[in-house]
Amino acid sequence: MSSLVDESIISDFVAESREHLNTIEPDLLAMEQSGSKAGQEVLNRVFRAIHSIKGGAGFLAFERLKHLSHTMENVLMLIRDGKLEADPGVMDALLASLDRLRAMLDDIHDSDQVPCEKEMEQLRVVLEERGHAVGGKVSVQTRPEDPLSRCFDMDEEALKSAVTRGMHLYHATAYLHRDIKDKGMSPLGFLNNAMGVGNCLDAFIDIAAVAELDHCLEQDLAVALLFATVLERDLAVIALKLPEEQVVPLDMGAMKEKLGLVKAAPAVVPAPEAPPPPPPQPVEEIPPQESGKNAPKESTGQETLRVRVDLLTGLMNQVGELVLGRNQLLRALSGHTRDIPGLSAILQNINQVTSELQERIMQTRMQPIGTVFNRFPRIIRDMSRALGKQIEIQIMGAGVELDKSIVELLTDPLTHIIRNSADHAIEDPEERLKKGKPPAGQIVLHAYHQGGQVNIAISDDGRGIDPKRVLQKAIAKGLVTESKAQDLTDREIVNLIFAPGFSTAETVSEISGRGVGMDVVRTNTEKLGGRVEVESELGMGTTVLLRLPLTLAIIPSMIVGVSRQRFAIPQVNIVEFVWIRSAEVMTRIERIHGAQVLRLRDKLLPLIRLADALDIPRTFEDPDTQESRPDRRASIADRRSPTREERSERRLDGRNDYSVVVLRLGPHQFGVIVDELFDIEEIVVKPLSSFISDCKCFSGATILGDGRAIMILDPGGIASLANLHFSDIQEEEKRRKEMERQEAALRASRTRSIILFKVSEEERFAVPQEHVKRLERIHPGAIERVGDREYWKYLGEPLPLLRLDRLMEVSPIPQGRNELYLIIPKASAEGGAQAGIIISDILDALDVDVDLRPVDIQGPGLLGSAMVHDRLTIFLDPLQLVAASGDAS
Amino acid sequence: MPTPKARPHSSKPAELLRLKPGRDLVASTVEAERESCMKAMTPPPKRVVLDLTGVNQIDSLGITLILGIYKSCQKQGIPFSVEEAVPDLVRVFKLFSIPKLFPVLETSPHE
Repeated sequence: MSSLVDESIISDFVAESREHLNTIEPDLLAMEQSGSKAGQEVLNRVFRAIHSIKGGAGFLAFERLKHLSHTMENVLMLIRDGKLEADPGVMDALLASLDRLRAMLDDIHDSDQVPCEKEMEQLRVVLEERGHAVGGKVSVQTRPEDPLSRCFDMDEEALKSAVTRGMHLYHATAYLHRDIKDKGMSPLGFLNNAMGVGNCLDAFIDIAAVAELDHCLEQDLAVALLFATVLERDLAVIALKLPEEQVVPLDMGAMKEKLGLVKAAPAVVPAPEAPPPPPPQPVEEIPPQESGKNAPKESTGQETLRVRVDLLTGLMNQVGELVLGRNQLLRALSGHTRDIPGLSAILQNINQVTSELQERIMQTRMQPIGTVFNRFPRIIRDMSRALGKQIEIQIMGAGVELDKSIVELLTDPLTHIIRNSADHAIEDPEERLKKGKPPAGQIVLHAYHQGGQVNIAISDDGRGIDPKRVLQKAIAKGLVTESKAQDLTDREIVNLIFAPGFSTAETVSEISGRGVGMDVVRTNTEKLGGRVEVESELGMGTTVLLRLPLTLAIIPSMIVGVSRQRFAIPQVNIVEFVWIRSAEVMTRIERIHGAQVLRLRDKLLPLIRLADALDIPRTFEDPDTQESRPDRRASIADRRSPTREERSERRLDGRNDYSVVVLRLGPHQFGVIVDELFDIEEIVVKPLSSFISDCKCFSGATILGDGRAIMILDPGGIASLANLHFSDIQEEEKRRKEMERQEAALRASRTRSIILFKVSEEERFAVPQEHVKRLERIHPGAIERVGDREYWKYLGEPLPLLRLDRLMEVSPIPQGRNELYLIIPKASAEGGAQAGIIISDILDALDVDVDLRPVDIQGPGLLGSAMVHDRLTIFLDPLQLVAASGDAS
Repeated sequence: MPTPKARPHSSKPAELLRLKPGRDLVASTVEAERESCMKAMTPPPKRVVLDLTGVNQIDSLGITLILGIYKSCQKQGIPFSVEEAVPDLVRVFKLFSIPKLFPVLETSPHE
C-alpha cells in the first residue's frame, strides 16, 4: 500500500498555491485602488485562485489552510455580490490573511499549528459587521463545512488500473444515518453495494466532526469515498443511491497526469458550498497595472507540466555542450562539403535544429521580472500606511525576462532597495510640500534591456544622498583616506555606500537615506554577474541601477585576435566595426587630455588598444622575415617603421591600418583596437574560476569550435582597466561642437549672395542680391535719349538709366552690342530716386564668403573689392549709385 | 443486556477498562450501550479496550458509538483499541480507514 499523498504532491500544491498568492496580491491591490472599477474579471481571478488553494488544502487535509482560505472566499463572495466595498479595511483583512496563508505554506507540514485566529477574527468582523451593514443578509456562512476535503490513501496500482481501464473517479459522500441507516442498509451493505458497480478505492469517516460519547449518537457522520466505476455520473448516482450533489466527478486529466508523471498537481476537489465563479463576462475592466499585466495568466487551455529546475539546468548544460559540439562539427567538416554529397544540407539541418533547441531550452528557464516586481506594490502599500507617508510605485518593464535563477536571487536585493527608498528616502508629506514637491513620493521600478543586459533602475524622488556626509562617514570608518578622498567625484563618493562595513542602521539611514546593508545588495548582484551603481542628486532623488546578465548560458560573440591570442566579445556589446586606413590615422585619431580618441562621424570615442588594456605584449609580423616582432609604438597614431623600399609609401601601407571594435558601455561608447577580426560564434559561457574571478576585464570563458579555450571580454571591465574618462571626452566634444556652431554662425554672417556682372572685359563687378529688384534684358535701340540722359520704358514709365563709367573710373560698355542688361535696384526705404544700371553681361548669381578690401578707384557706392572666381571684383551698393546719379542730375 | 465488563467499579481509576457489549451494536442497542460506557468510564481509566466478542453486526449507529468512545478517550488522552472483531467487521473498519485512528484486532483464528 503506498500513499499518493506523498511529498512531491504536497510540494506541488505549495508551489502552485504560492503562484496563486503572487497573482492574488496585485489583484487585491488593484481592487483596492480602483474599487468597483477593478472589473469582474479581476475579482473572479482572485476568487478562482483562493478557491484552488482551498480545494488543494482540503484535499491534502491541511485544515487551517482550508478554513482560512474558505473564509477569505466568503468575503470575496460578498464583494462579488456587491454587498461589500473593497475598501482599505476589507483589504487589510484579506491581505493579512494572504500573508498568513503564505506563512502556512512556508511551513506546510505544521500549517495546522500556525496561529490564524487574528486573521479569522478580522475576516469574521468583515463578514458579520461590514457585510450586514452594507448589503443585508449574509448567506455565505450558512453552508455546511465541506466534509470531502480530505486526503485519500489508496493502492496506487489499483488507482492506475482503474484509470487505465477508462473508469471514472468520483468523490462520493454518504451520511451514515440519512443515506445508509434510513435506507435500511448497514455500512457493510452500503459498501458491498458500491463494490458491485465499481471499486471503492478508499473511504473514511469525517472524524473531525465526531462528538464525544455523550452526544455522539445525535450526529449524522459523513463517509467520504473515492469511487471508481465505468458508470457516468447520472448512473453512478443511482447505483450508489446517493443524492446527485454528493457524487462529484474528479478531474481525470489531472489524475492521469498525476499517475503517469508523478509530478502532477494534486487533484482539487470542488467544494460544494462555494461554487466556482461564473465564466468571465464582457465587463468593463480597468487597464491593469504593469505589474498585473505580467502576472501569471489564467490558463488558456494550454497544457502545462511542472518540471524540476535541476532537470532544466541539466538540460541547459547539455545543450551548451551540444552547441559546442555543433560548432566543432561544423568547423571540422566545413572543408569536406564538396567531397561528401549531401553533407552541406545535413550540417545546415544540425545547425538549425541545435540553435532552435538551445533557444527553446533557454526559454524554459526564462521568467518575467514581474514575478519579483509584483510583490512591491504590497510592500509599498503597507509601508505607506505604517509610516504615514504617501508613496506611489510605478512599475515598468515587468515583462522583461531573465533566467529563473537570476529572478529568484533578485528578490532580496530589490526588496532591500525598495524598503530603504520608502523608509528613508521619501519624505513625509509635510516635508515634501515644504520643499515644493507633491505630497506623494514616487518610486519607479523600471526594467529594460540594454546592451545584452537587463537593467533594473529603482528611482525615487526623495531626499537624495549627501556626498559630503557619506564621505565624512567613509573617512571615519577608514574606508577611504583623506588624501584619496580629494580625488573622488561626487558619484564615486555616493557609491561608497556599497562598501562593505559602511552601512549600519543608525548611521547610513541618517546620513544618506539609504539604509542597512547596501553592501549586501552589491554582493548579491555581483553573484549574479551583475553590477550595481547609484546616482543621486541631493534633494531631488536617487537612482540605484542594477545591471544584470540576461542569461548565463549561450551568447553570440565576435571572436577577435590580439597578438596571436583570441578573445570573445559578446555581440550585444558591439556597436560597429571601424576600419581605419593608414592614410586616415593622423586625421581620425587625436589626443585629448592625454587620451587617444577616434573621430567617428560627429563623435569622439575613447580609443584603446586591447593588448595594452590586457597588458599583452604587442607584436607585428615582419613582412620580410614573417617573424613576430615586438611593436614598440607608443601612440596609436604612430605608424610601423617601413622597410627602406617602402618608406616613400608609408602612409599607404596596409599594415598600418587599424581594426576598431566600437563597444557600448551604458550610455557611452569606446573603441578597442584589435589585430584581427574572425567570426561571430555562438559561445557557451562558462563561469570564471574563483581564482580569476577578480579579473574584471573577463566575464567568463568559452571553448571555440576548434577546441581552443578563450576568455570572454567584459566591456565595463576593460573600460575600467583602461581608466577611460568619458566625461573629459564628452566635455571636449561639447566644446568642439560649440566652436563649430560659432564658426558656422560667423561664416553665415560673412556670406553674401551677389550678382556678378561686367560692363566691359576689363572689370568685374558685384552687387548684393538683396538690393536688386529686377534684372532686365534690353535692346540698345530701345534706349531713349534726352540730352545726356538716357531712359527706358519700364512699367509704362520712363526709367532713368545710368552708366558706371560716368560715375567712376571704369571702362565703358563697348559699342555695337546687340543687347544689354539692366540692374534695377530696390527702392530705398526712404523712397529715393529710381534708376536702372546698364551693364553688358550678367556672369553669375552666387554666395561668396569674402573679406572686402578698399578699392583704389574713386566713385559713389563702392563697398570694396575681393577676389571672386579668381578675378578682382568691385562690390557696389546700387542704392548709393542711384542716389549719386540723382544728386548728379 | 450485557453490561460492559469494567473491573473494578470503584473511585480508583482502572488500569484497563474492557468494554464488552456481547451483542450486536445496532439501532436498538446503541443507546443502552452508550450509557453503560459512559458510566464505566467514570472515573477515566488508563486504557480502554472495546471487546467485540459476540458482536456480529454493526450498523451506522454502532459505528457512530464506537467513534464516540474513541473521541472521548482521545480527548482525555486514554489509549483505545478494538479487539476480537469478526472479519466482516474488520472489513468495514478498514474500508472506513478506522484502523488509522486506533488499533483494530481481528478475532484469533483458533478461538
